Amino acid sequence: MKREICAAALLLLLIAASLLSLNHVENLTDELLLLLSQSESALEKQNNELALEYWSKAFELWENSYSYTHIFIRHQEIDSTAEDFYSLKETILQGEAKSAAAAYGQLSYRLECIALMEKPSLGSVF
Amino acid sequence: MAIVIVRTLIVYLTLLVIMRLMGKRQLGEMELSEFIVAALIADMAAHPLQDIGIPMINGLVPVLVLFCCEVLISGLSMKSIALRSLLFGRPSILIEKGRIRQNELRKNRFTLDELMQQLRNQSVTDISQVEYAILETDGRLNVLLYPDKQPMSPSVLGISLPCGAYPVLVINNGRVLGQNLRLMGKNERWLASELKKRGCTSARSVFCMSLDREGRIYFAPMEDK
Repeated sequence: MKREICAAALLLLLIAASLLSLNHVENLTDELLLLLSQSESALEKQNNELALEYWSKAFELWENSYSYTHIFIRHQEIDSTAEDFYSLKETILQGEAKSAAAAYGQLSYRLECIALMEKPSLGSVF
Repeated sequence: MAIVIVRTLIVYLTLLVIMRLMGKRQLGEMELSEFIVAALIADMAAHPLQDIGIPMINGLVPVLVLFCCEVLISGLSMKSIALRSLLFGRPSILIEKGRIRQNELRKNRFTLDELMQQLRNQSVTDISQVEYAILETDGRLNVLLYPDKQPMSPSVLGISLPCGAYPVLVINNGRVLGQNLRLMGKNERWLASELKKRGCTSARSVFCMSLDREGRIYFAPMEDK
């Protein structure tokens, strides 16, 4: 009976850990999306420096989550997200809000997908 | 490459621990759920080894979940006969009182050729000698011959034999197994005297020595390498 209780406890622990992980990744992506939208707004107002500042904060937040992302997220996704960050930086430096919109959209979509993939739903399970 | 080596070691040790915790049944004849778990565990654990872009956790978590499910299901099935028969099925009697139950053969998709093969595996070539043949839930076929076709035993002949004594190893490849020695009610002094009788000065020159409750000793010295 002891073994069964331990197995049930371990299973519950894994489920709890997965819910915590999901919560963490949702919070992380929400923060990143907020910073990116602030950066986009700043760029639309022709404030390149502020846009770049928000970009830097978002990128720093992404980099600081290195331990979490490399344990839980596929490395290909991490690499692609980093590439999108740098592409976005390039468009911010060029200072063109219209062409930067696509870059913002791409990065935001990728971050949303990362959170969506972790969330149990019919689409993600099947 | 270093990453692959480290991952392989982690997966190997994890699987070792998991299979050990699952128990001896996993290593012997397996029931259906056990077979599924064994097949899945090996495959899932291998994914992070093939692609280092996949996080290790994607290989280890499924293994842990399968382990938990297997332990819970096997534990519950021990307590519930209904669950046991639902998960593992019931044994099927393929031959009853010498008559082949063709309906049972069809139900189990067991052909006559397979039945004959399984009987031959158990050294039965004449089907008319078989009183019962039972297909177990793990796929094994157990055969019971008619009493007059069964091998002779001393009790049938009215011969009484002394009870057998289970031998226990006391020296294994040069190492003295102290616990087994004490189990047999002996000690190191007795062992030393027995070794001396056999021309050995130390247990290191003994490959195998066993002892049973009747005092019978099996002795094999170490061969020169």
